[in-house]
Amino acid sequence: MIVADSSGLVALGSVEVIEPFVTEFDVWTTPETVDSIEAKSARHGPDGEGARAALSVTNQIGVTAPNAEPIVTTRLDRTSGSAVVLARDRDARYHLTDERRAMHELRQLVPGDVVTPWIALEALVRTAGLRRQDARFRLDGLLDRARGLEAAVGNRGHSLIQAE
Amino acid sequence: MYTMSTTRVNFRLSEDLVERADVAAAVTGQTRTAIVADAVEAHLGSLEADDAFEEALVERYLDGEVELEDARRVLGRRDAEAVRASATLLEDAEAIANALSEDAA
Repeated sequence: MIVADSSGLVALGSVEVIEPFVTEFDVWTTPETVDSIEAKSARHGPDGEGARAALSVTNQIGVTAPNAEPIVTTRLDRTSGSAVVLARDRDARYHLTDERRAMHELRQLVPGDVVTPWIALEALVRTAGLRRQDARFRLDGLLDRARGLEAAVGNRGHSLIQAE
Repeated sequence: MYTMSTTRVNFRLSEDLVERADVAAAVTGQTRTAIVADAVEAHLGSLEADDAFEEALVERYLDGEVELEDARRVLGRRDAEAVRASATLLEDAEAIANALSEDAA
């Protein structure tokens, strides 16, 4: 089971791999996350496109409310925090996120492994849900918009995706 | 009152820069040291606000060329922790991708 937050779903939506991702994996999220994606879907640009793509597959995602109030920190808002609580409720094995500046908090708070979009891309390559060349192209798309810390960390995703 | 500790450093500046610093000191009533310190502070602030600088710093940290404590001074504690957590995640990434692919529907 993968619990996904808004950032992770929108990131995969923005590079058009959300459909194979939700087809290949058992993905769950919270109503707050869906509301957040709906709000983002009105935006222009990659975030809006990613949100619209993510919204188009919500019928293939399990949506359920967590049993407690969201965990909110300086790096996690209520939406991301609701996904954290759901992951804890369900003891989810994986937690999809693109919140790179909250990585420390997330790795401490969620019970399973944190899955970044570039780890998801590599997993899709391994399930044959995506060709490696496509995965590289999608990763480049994700990194085009990354800056600073996020770009440096994301660049390391190349070494994973480049591996044959 | 909190006073930041200082340390003595020796470095060479062009005569022109020293003269300009002295003019600025005379005009503002500050010491030459204060003028130079303010200039360095402003330049570092500008650099540290630059995405390309942050990216290069994090790259160096991930390459093991910069210590966590030094990264923390520049990035701040929370971002430095995020980078450290990301570095650990990078080490585990292949295993996670593999395990995730085995859990596919």
